[in-house]
Amino acid sequence: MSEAFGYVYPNHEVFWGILIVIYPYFVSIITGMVTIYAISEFWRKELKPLEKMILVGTFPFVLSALLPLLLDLGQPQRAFEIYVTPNFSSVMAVFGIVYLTELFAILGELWFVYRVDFIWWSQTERNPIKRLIYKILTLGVYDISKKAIEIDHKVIKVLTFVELIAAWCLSYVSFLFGVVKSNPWWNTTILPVSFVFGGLAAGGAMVLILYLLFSSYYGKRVDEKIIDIISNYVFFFLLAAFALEMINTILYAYKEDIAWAVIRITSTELAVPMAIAVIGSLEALLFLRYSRMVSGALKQIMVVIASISVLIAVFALRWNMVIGAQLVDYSLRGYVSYTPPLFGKEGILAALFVIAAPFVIMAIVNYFLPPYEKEVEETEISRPTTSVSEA
Amino acid sequence: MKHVTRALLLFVFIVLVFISAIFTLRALGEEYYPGIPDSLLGIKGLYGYDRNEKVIIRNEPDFLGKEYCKNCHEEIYEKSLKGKHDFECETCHGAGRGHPDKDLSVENTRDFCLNCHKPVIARPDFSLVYDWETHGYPDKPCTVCHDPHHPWFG
Repeated sequence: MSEAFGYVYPNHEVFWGILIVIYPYFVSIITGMVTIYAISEFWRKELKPLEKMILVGTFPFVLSALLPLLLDLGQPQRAFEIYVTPNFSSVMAVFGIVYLTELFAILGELWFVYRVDFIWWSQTERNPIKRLIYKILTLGVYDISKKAIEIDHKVIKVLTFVELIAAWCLSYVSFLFGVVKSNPWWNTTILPVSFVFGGLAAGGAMVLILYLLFSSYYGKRVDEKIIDIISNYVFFFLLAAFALEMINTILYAYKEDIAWAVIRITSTELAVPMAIAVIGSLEALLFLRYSRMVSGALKQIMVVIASISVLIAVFALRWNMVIGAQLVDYSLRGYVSYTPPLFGKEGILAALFVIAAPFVIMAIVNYFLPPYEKEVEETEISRPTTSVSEA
Repeated sequence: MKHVTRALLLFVFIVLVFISAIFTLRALGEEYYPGIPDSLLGIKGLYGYDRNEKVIIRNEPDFLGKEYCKNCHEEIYEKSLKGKHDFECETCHGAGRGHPDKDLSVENTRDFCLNCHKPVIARPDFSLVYDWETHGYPDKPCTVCHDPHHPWFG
C-alpha cells in the first residue's frame, strides 16, 4: 500500500486514508452551499427561488459529513462518547458541538422555510402516510397569516446567521487535519483562508450543478441570470483560493527555505493531484468567465463542465493537504508513496459509497420536501413560447 | 407567534433529552458506561470491554499456592519454612491444579537444580555452585547429599 523512499523513520505510516480526504471535502461543500444560501438571504434577492433547493441540497451533506469519520474509526459505536465526556480544551473534540449547532440550525431553517408548504400538503396530499407525516410536521399550528409569515422570515434570518457561523467554524476542524501533520508546506497562516475560499468555490459549483439537475427534474425553465450570479461568485472564490495557493508556493520557491525542500521531495508523489488542481482551476476559471458571454444550452454545458472541474480540483487540493502532509517523513530526507486500496475499510469502493451517500439521502429528502412543484403541463404549454422568443 | 413557541419547545425538549441522556450515562460511572454500546452490539474479546476480567473468570487458576499443599503435607511445609527453600512448592513441583487425582513429579537430575544454582552472569549470588562441574559426585543427583526441602548449610 505504501512504499518508502529515502530516509524514513521506521514507524512512518499513512494513517489517514481516502475517507479522511472526503470529510474535509464534504465540509467544504457545506460551507460553500451555506454561504451561497446566506448570500441569497441577505444580499441577492434574485437568488430567492433557489433557497429551498439549496436547503434540500445542503441537509444531506450535513447528515453524511460524519459518515467518513465514523467509518474510519475502529469502534464507531463509541463515537457518542465524545458527547458524554466532552473535552472543551480540544479543538477537534469541540467539533461535535459545532456540528450539532449546524445540524439544528439547518433543521430549524428547513422547518421555517417549509412551514407553509407543510400546512398546504397536510390538507391536499393524497398519500395517507405522507399526509400524516406532514400533519405531525406542522406541530398542530395552521397559522398562515401575514404576521406569522413575517415572523418566519425574521427567524430564518437569525438561523441563517447561526448556520453561516457554524459552517465556517466547521471548516476550521478540517484544515486542522492538514496542520496537525504540520510539515512546513502546510504549516502556514494562509492555509485556513485558502481552504475556506476553496470550499466556497466547491459549494457554489455544487449549487450550480444541483440547480440544473433540479430544474430538469421538475421541468423548470433555467434562469440564466441566476446562473450568471452564482458562477460569478464561484469565479471570484476560486480565483482567491487559486491565487492564495499560488502566492504561497511562489513565495516558498523564492525563499528556497525548508518548505521548498519538502515541496521538491514530494513533487513526484503529488504531481498528479497538483496537476489536476492547477489545470482544473485554470480551466474552470476560463469556462466560468466566458460562460457569461453565451446563452442557452452552450452556457449550461460550460457551467456544468466548469463546476465539475471545480469539484475535482478542490478534491485534489484536499487530497494534497491530508495525504500529502503525511507522505513527507519528519526527517525531511525521505517520503512514502501512497495508493489507496480498492477494497477494505479505507478503500476506493468505500469512498465511492460515502460520496454517493448524500445524493441518496437527497433523493429521500426531495421525496418528502420537494423544493419545486412539478410543472409538466405548464412547460408543455410554455415551451413553444420560449422557443419562439429565443428564435 | 404560536408556531415559533412550539418549535422552540420541541427544540428545548430535544436538547433536554440529549443532555439528560448524557448525565444519566455519566451517573452510571466509568465501570458501566463505556461498555454499553459494545454490550448492545455483542462485541467481546479483542478490543472488547473488560477482557481481562472475563478471562480470569472463565479460567480456573493453575497455581494454588503453599497453603493448598499444607492441607496434606504439613510436615514438609513446616520444614521448608525453616530453611532457605521457603518459596512456593509449585516452583519445583509444578502447577497443583487437580493434584490429589493427578501425580506431581520433580525431575531428580543435577541439571534441574542447576537451573537456579549454576553461576550465570548477572545472577545474584544465592548459593551459586561455582564448581558445579566437579562438585560432590558429578554422576549422581544432588539429592543424594542435599535435602531439597531443607538444604544443608542453610
